[in-house]
Amino acid sequence: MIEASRPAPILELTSGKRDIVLQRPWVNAPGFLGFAGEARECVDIERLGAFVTPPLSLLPRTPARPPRLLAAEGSFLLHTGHPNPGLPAALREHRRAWSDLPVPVIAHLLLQTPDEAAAMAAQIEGVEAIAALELGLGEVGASQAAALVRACAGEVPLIAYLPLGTPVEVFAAAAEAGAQAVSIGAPRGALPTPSGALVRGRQYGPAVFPLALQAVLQLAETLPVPILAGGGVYGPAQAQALRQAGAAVVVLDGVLWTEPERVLGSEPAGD
Amino acid sequence: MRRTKALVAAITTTPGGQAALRLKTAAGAISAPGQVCLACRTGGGDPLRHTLLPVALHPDGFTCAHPDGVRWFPGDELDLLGPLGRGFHPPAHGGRWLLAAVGLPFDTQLPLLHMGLGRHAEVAVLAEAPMLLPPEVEVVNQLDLAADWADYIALAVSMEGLRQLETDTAYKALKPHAAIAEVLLLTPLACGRGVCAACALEGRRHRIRACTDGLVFPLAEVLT
Repeated sequence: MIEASRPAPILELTSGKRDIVLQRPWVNAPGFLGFAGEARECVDIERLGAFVTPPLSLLPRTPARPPRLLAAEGSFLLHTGHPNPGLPAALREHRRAWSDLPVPVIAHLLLQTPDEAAAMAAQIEGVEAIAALELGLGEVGASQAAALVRACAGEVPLIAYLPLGTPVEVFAAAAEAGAQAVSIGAPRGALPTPSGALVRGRQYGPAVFPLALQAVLQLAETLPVPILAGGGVYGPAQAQALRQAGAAVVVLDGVLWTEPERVLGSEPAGD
Repeated sequence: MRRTKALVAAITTTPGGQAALRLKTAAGAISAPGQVCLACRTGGGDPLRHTLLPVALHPDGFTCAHPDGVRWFPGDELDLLGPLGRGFHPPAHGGRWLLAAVGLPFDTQLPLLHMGLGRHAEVAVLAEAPMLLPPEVEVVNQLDLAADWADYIALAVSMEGLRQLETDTAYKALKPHAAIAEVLLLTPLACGRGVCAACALEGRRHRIRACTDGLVFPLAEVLT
C-alpha cells in the first residue's frame, strides 16, 4: 500500500517533553488577532502555521493613555500598553477556545524579571492547549535576556522575542540560554502628536520591511536556531524575500487588518 | 460588519469646505448616522485602513471627508470594512434634537441632522462657527438653555476632547441631561474588530472599545 506523503513541516521545535509543529510558514504578530474568537473574523486561522496570543502579563494591565495610534508615511505606531486580564485570567477565559483552534497556540508572555518569568512559565506547564511560549524580552541586554530565558526553561518550547534593532549578541545569548527559536518583533519608534508631545511605541507598516530583511540576513549568518521574522510584509514578494534570507516563518502584522489574503493565499519558497 | 468593494466616484468637498470623497458602495455599507467604515485601496499596500465617517448618505453610497495623507483618486477601488458601530439612536418621530460637534467639523453630524428633518423633528445646532444650514434648523450658542429645551442630544467629539469636555464649565450643563444624550467618540481606529486596543476606553462600568461597542455611546456610559 502506498501512503500519501505528508509535506515536511515548516518548523518543529521541541523541549524534549512537548513539541510544536508548524505546517505552514505564517504566524500572526502578538495582539493582531485578538485572544482567539475574534481572530476568526479577520483571517482563516487554518491558513496559519500557529496562532500567537496577545501579549500576556502576570498581572492585569489597562490600556495606555491616548493617543495610542499614530500614522506616518508608510507606517504606523501603536502604543496600546498591551492591556490584558493577566495570565491566570487569560488561561481561565481562553484555554478552551485555544484547544479548539485548528493550529498550535503560542502564548506570548511579557516578561520583566526572572522570578516573574518562572512563575508565568510554571502556570503554563499544565496547559496542554499551549504548544510553545514566545518570550517578550523587551529592550534588554544579553545577560538579562539569557536570565529570562533560563527562568522559563521547562516542558514547553521557547521562542525568544526581541524587537527589531536588538543587537545580534542579545539574540545569540537568548538562543544559548535555551530558546529553541528567535522571533524578530516590531521595532520601537517615536512620533510627535499634533500638539508636539512624543509618543513611543511599536512601529509597523511597509516602511519597516527593509530593516526587517537586513536583520534576518544578519541573524541567519550567526544564529544556530530557526528565525521567525516579520515587519512590513504586505505582499507575497516580501514574504518570499524573508524566507529566502533565512526566516523559517513569516510573522504577519498590519496586513491581517487590511488584505490578509494577499499574503496568506501564497506559499513562499524557503532558502 | 463585512468586507465589500467600493469605488471612488469623485473628489468633492464637504458642506463645510473640506476635501471629500464620493464613494459608490454596496447596499448597507453604512446603515445609520454615526457608523463608520474602514477602507484601504485594493492591492495598494496601505499600512492601515483609514476611517471614513460619512457627511452625507446616498442611495448608492456615501460622501466622507478625505482622510489625511491618503492619495485616492476617482476610479480607485477600495476594500471597505463596515459598517462599524451601532450609530445614533434618535427618536423615531419628531421631538426636539440638539446636535453639536465639539472640536470637530460639524459636517460629521450632517447625516443625523438630515435624518432629524426627515423625521419632522425640531433640530437645533450648537455651532462654534457660522455655517450654511437648512433654514428650518435653529443655530444656538447657549448650551445650558438648549439642553433644557431638547429631548434628544447628540454630540460628536474626539477621544481626547471627551476628557477636556468633562472639565469644561459649559459642558457640565450636559450632565443632568446625560440620560437623553448620545456621543459619537471619534478616535483613531486600527483593526476595527476589537482586537488591537487602540480605541479602548475605560467606561463607567467596564472597559469598552469604540470600534465594536461604539462609536456612539450613551453619554452616561462614558462620562466619569
